[in-house]
Amino acid sequence: MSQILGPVVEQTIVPDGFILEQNSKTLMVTINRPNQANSFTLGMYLQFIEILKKAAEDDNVDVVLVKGNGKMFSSGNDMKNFSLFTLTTEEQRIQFATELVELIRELNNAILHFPKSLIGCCHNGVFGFLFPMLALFDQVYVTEDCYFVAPMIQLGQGHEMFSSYTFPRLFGHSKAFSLLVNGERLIAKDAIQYGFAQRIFKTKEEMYSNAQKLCEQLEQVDRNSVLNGKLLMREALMSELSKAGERELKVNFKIWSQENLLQNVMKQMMRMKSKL
Amino acid sequence: MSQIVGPVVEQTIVPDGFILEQNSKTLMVTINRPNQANSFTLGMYLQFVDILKKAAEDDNVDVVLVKGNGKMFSSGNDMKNFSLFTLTTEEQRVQFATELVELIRGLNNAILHFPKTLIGCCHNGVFGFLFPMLALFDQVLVTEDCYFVAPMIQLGQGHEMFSSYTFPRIFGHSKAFSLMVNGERLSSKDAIQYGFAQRMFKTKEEMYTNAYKLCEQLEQMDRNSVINGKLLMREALMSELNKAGERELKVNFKIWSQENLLENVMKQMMRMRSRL
Repeated sequence: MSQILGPVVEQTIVPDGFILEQNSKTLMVTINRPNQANSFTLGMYLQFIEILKKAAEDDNVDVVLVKGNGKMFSSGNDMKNFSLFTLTTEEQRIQFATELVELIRELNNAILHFPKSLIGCCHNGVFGFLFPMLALFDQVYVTEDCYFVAPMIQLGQGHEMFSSYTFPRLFGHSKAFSLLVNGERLIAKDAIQYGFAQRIFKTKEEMYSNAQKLCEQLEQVDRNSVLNGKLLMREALMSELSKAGERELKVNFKIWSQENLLQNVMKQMMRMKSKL
Repeated sequence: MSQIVGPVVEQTIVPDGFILEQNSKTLMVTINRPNQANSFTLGMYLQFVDILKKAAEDDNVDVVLVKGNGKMFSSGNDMKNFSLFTLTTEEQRVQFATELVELIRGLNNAILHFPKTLIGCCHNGVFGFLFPMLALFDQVLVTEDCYFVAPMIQLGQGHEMFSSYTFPRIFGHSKAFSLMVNGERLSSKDAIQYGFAQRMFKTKEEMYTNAYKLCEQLEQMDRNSVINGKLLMREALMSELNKAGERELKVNFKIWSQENLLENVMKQMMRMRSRL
């Protein structure tokens, strides 16, 4: 299951969650829910926040590498998350929306403020919130077959994970509109062209092997230099990113507290399927 | 004259202006002054602002598509506009410049704050203020023969329609300098490369057909999701765009209130022609 090269010091498997492996000063986080296309349960959101927070504080961790087990990197939010909640009364809906906003705000902040190098290794499919989340990573490696889709707005949802700010910057407004509003796919080749991803590989093995080398190189650089290297670049945009994040959560709160949330999502999903 | 596919609900022809056609929830705006290469009279500036304002408020409109009738998309400002004014005294010149700034500010704001999806279909030539205006559109489709020219600074004028902000972002400073200060043409192929335009077609007919398909897709989406999708991306840049717009108008006011405005423009036009 694990595809790392080199000695594994420690392996922790969390059911429906993540495999954590420490290799020298690199923490490898493998999204592990292969039978459900690595979709995120609510528990996995919380686990991922925990993993990032712990890694930020852990002196034994200089670099965090994220990859996906199985067929694809991740298919995003598990739609079944929505059906966990009774949303009959307005009070219940507001409660749900408030809690969901709190959760996503925590995830946003965990990524936004993560001080150490964050590397993503993506293969096959990257769906939903993972797509904009990778824009906050420090390096993204992809396989040739990799593609990215952000269906949120197509599904009647809103921008997520600072996409309203990062995507126009990376892609220009119109391409960002194509990707986020029109739900257009971003293929690996174009991800490289736009600088969303930095390196492309024929196979997963090549990708992981090269990512491993990158981690080793980073571990050898002066720790504070690397931290400040990332921090200062992030600082320059922190205020705008924070504001964008709050605007997005405001819109999402309205969406998540609306009546018939699940029915509307299902309706849009069927419309999208009929387009294929 | 009309090249739409599908039922036309309503058609309004305005002499020396625009053809408006409503197709489902899409308003098609055709720049219609083919004998003068679709150049804009002063009246057309006002009409266009009005069209956008009305479409913004009209619940029957989700998408606005702009195209050009005849040989080219538009050759920009009609130079004869300048000769409409007696500009002998300083008082007259200041009055003229003030009114022109007010007019352009109105157009700037109409575009900047337009909440719905704005699509441009460009063929052959796009000159003058139309070039930077398209940078504020949500999708730009082009034919292979399409090219863009911003001769304003070559003609002794200044940046227009937020080009001082959008062009460096889209093209990088040096390419923006080539385009805006050196009056270099942007080919359709390069427009695609830089993300200024999203799709390129061999013929106008192909372009319009694909544009209508896009409009249909957008109409089927959740209305608020699309509006917020655009709004949040624009919000992130609103403050900077506004500041840039005002800086541009300040410079243009000085230019438009100068003595011998028309003579200077003519002199520059002859210089440019002699370069060919």
